[in-house]
Amino acid sequence: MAVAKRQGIPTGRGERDSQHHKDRVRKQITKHLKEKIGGEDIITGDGKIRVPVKGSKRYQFIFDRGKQEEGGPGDGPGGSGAGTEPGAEDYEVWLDMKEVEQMLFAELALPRLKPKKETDTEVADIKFDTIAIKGPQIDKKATMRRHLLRTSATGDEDFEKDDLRYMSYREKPRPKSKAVVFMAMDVSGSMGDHEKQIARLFFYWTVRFLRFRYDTVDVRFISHTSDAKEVNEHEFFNRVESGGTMVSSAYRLVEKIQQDRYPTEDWNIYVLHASDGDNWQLDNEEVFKSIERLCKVASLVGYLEIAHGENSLFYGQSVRSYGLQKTLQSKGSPGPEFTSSLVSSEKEVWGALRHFFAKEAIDESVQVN
Amino acid sequence: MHGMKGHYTAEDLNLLDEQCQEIALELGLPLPEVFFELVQAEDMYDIAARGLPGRYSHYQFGKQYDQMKRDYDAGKGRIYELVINTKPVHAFLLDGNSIISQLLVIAHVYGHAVMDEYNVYFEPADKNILSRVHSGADRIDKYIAQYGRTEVEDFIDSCEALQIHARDDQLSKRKVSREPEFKTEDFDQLFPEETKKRRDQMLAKRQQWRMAFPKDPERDVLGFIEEHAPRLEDWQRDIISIIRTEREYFHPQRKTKILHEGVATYYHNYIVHKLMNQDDRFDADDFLEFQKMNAMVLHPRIHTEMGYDENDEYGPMVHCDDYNPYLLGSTILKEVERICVDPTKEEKEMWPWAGNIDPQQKRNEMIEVYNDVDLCAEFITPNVCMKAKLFMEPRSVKKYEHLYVDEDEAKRVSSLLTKRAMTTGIPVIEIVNGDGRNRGELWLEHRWDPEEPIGLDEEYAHGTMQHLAKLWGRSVACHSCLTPDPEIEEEAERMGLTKRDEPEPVWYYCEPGKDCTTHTSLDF
Repeated sequence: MAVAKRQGIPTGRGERDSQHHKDRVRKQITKHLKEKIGGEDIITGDGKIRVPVKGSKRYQFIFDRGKQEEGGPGDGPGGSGAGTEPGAEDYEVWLDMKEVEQMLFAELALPRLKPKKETDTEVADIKFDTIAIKGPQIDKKATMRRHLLRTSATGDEDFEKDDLRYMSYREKPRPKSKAVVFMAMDVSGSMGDHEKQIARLFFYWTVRFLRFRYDTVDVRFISHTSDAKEVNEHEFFNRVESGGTMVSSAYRLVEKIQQDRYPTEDWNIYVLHASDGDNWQLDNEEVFKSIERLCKVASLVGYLEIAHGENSLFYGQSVRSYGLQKTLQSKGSPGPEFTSSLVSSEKEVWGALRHFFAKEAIDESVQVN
Repeated sequence: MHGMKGHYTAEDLNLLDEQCQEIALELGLPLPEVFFELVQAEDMYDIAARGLPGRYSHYQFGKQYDQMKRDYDAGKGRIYELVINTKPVHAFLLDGNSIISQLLVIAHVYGHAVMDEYNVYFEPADKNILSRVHSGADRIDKYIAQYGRTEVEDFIDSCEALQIHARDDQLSKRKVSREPEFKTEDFDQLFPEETKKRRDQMLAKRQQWRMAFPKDPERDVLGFIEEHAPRLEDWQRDIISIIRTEREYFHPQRKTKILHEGVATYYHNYIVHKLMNQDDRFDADDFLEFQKMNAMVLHPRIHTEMGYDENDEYGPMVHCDDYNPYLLGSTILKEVERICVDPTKEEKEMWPWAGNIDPQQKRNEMIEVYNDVDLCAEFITPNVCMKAKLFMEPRSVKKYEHLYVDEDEAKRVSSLLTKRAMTTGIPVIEIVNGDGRNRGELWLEHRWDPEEPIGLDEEYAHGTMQHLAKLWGRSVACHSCLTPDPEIEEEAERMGLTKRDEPEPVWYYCEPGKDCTTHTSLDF
């Protein structure tokens, strides 16, 4: 007998290794996307994004190919000479927005999201906590117990099909988490094109992330100069204004809307504010008090300060002592819910997103910068 | 086969196997025992991607596995012949293939089995390689659990970048240099000054020798690293040793690729023809199916593109940028067979045995002692070039006579393929210094061919050097040359300048964790 079906040559690593390879590519793409996130083209493109996959080359010492007369070492069919060919070239992947979101947003979440009001119980949680006679996943313990019960009388030691028990799930209603996110953006005269671009990018990705992850998140848009207005999404991203800055106007409007429409019993409250930090000096005290009050009701009060670009008249100002972030820091912490971040270029937008929404940081108290 | 289109059982295959064995024995060599295993496509790709079944887990194998699966799903499936050189020999048949392709593979495998058994270059082969492979895979699984998958896979990547550089010949004894000694000569006492000079020279040389590390240039780069790299952990050294063990298995296969596939192709042609002739279970359709597959296996690697022929006529041109080892190997064997019985006058002069040796004896002698270098150096004749479609110059396809190959072109083909068989297409790299500049730098020397200097691909050299620096843990340097630009050389020749003796030197230098850089000297 020289031809047989199985002779115990182990196989089956192929599928697993293929998964590892895909994971690697995915990680690389994600990393690349994070660097690219500040780029304008990623937004204005036709929904598809080109990402080069590098590092997939298998480097070896090979001859200078441009001048070599003929191709690489001849390696015919069959697997006997595995590993002699120089590695595969770089290739590109085209991703649509959905895939991009999946990769990027896997590591983001709204911090301190609490279940609110038990009347809303739409979200079903799946629990593997029952045992069934049929199923996809065998439950070894339950099977063993069943076997023991059956055989204790007879002394029969063989397993039978009747012994098999499987894990089974049931849908468990879970109280729904409702959340509202207030986004306030400074659109005053000191915000140049560079600063506005960064602020918009930050909010753009925040909105995308919220819509991707949460079905039931309300977003309120507020733009402010020396006074604040609630606007719709389109206006928020496109409004051009000029004038002085009074940051407290924005926070006061947030407080007002929250008190009128979003009671804390029903809603998780999140507040995000982006500005160049160039506030009217006498207003800073007011801002701090407002933030302190908001920290008592909100799960997160995030402040993003955008450093002025080199082309701006105000270049270098935000690091001066009267920038809003510095001023707030000097007054001490308004509460663990408050956190701020400073960015100076588009490349840092991902870092800011992670700063506010990093999944790992959720349970730790958010540090005050 | 009657009533067997698509449906056959293991018994049918066993019968074919027995018939194949019977006919194969007519070729004069006792057959080693072969176990065929019928496997599903997934298992076949798994084994093919690894080269050895059960090899350690690594994402690169997954990538190749995916590639094969994609090809298969796209209808580009092919016949796999996977033979593992163990005792007994293991071979695999893809379940679902037609009975005729199973027959072809079975017959083909006996050729490989014979080569593995009798060829002298396979003498060092470990016939128990699979148990070592499995033990290695288990250990690497353990390291993955302990140190993390990415860490281990990255380390394997670094080793893989350098694993190809091994000692050339597992059979020959290594030359080991001895400490220089002073040899007294007659009349030394008459010339005290000269003698002193000679002695001083010797002492200086001896000092140099004593300080040298390694004493002799070392081609086994990974071996040197395993033994001497200062900052490797035990698990890392173990992984290097696993990779080196498996490399030894593949090494003789690379040296005998043309002969191996040639013998296997010769065997399957002989066996299948004979079997189909003598067994009336096979009909004309079966024969055509076999011939179609055979033609695919033996297809020359030629390409067509538009260009000018010697008459400056524009049209399609064929050229070959590679060779098919199946075609080349079997063509040579058939040519040798003809030379044995019906040599030309020139051939009689060239080979004293021509015309008076039993072709079977000659073939089996070649199976036993030849490798690809011998084969290419001795038997690439104009006839072989024409039959195996090996051209140095592109050919116009308009005129058939253009496919003619003359003595001179055949010599050039032979010299090219011989060189390639010697290096197996891999630059020769030696470790010349393990303590460069007295700060532990690892210095490599690329031994380029002085007759035809070709440098290294810069991008790939940089990538490889980064891997090397990671393994060595300290700075590494590689001395190579820049490939001379033929146009500039010609220009210089036209202007009456003498050609440079040596191509321009170049150094690749890399500190661990940093980018590799290119320099014209190491003085920095």
